[in-house]
Amino acid sequence: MKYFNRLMVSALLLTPVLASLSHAETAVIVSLKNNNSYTSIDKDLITRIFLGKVSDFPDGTDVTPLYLKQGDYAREAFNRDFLSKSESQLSGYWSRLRFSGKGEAPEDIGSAAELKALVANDPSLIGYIDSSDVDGTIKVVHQY
Amino acid sequence: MRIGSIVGSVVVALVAASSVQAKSSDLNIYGFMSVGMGILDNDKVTIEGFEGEGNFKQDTILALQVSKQVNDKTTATGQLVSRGTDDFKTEAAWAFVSYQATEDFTARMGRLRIPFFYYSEFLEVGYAYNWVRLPSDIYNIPFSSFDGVDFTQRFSIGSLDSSIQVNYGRLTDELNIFDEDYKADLRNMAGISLNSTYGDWGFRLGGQRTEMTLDTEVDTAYIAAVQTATIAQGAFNGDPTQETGAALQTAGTALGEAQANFDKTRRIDQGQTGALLLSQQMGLDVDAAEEFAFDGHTADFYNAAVTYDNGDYSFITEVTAIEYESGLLVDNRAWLASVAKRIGSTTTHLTYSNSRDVLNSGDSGKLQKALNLQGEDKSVTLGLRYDYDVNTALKVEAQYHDELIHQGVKGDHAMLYSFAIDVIF
Repeated sequence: MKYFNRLMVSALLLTPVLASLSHAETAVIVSLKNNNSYTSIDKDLITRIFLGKVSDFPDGTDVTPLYLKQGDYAREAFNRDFLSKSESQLSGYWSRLRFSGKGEAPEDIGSAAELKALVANDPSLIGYIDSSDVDGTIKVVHQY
Repeated sequence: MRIGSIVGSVVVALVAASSVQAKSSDLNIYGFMSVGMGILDNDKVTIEGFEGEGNFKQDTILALQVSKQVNDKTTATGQLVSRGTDDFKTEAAWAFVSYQATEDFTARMGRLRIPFFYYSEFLEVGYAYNWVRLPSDIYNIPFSSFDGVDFTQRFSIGSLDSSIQVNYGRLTDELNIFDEDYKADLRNMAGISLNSTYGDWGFRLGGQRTEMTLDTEVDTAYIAAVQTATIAQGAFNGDPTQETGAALQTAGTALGEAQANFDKTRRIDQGQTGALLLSQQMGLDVDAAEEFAFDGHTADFYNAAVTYDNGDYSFITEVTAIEYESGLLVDNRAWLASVAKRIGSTTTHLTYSNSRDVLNSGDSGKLQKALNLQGEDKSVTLGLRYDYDVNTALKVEAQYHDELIHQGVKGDHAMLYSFAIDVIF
């Protein structure tokens, strides 16, 4: 009985941890200076922007995506949830474009802090960070 | 020589750019490399360039790509490729300056790849596909680059993202056809390709045309010897005297020598010579001198492909058609279908491909058949790709290849086992 209780307790303790793991949220962010009419960007368009298929925000202004560096947890989540690609598949995708002279992969940024600073200062940039890194310096246009 | 000078001028441009434009971005150097080996279990068959015993050179490729953004809109790019099949001679697959007029419109000039089919523009980047090498039932065109221009316009309709690419140029080069070299001048190479993606789906349509001139030669000495021998035979049959017998014997000896020389000529030379002789002998209504030649004769390449990739499952099917105005190469229809399933770092893939030559209609086709020009092949390939890390893939593959028809007669079949390591950097 005591053992059962302990099991119950640990299960209860685990639940929020599991929930946060499976719902680890990625926030797609732009500059506060990005005074566009839209308030959010749908997932499909974000995917297309980050694969270099679309080069404009919904209002027609230029957009340049930034990635986080390889191995970053938020990058892995973004690759899986938005791009539907493993890191190797993403690398293969960009190598097709690079070695046929048709495009270059977005720049990899070292940390969420660095990425926020870059995005905050340039309305043409778009990036993604873990939701827990969201603060008042940037605007979230999509959360997943 | 020509390639050398193009590369030279790109290098000069890059150096000039780097000293003048101190502010522009860095010189980017990227590359890819594949090392592989294959073992064929039947030495009567040549597939994918392999003949019998283990061979390391066939699949080994090293490429370096250097690019430099010259200013906001202009980039210079060079890609040097060194191939084991070519004794590691270095060649510029790409050497171009691109001008991005707008976000969605790019013009490029220099040495470019010909966008024949789906994989054509990155056909040697092993890392970019699951196979050890592209299926040769489709990807066996003996030339892949041209010198000229291309223009790409990108546009979106809803969530359908597309690009239209138009290219025009010329290629003067040595082509390796049936393992023999021909000096080629491919003029007015012009084409259009439409590529679209919609979510996980991709679609492609493409067409290319060029006017082919090859340095093929009719063996006139052989034709004369055959004609002399035929006349001597006729004379002897009509009037079998010692005199006509001696003449026949002399003509026969001369024909033997001419035959030995003829056998040493290249396969398309033999085809061209054979076409002239056979069209007469068979009494065919074909202007062989005009039709069975490569003197500005057009070649058309058509292609359609559908792809799907959701990260876990992927699929591609591609169909191609090649139409030669010259009777010396037979029109071809080919297709492939490939499925792949990824689990973690391992991708398993299965591919079927088929290539079928289609003889011309009427007497022209009869002549092609008599010349034993046509072939038909099919292949089944089962492979594994293991992504060792983000820049390295290990591949193993087993390919069953069946030459249903090889040079007009029933062929043989073989298994080809391959292993490769593909790296990008």
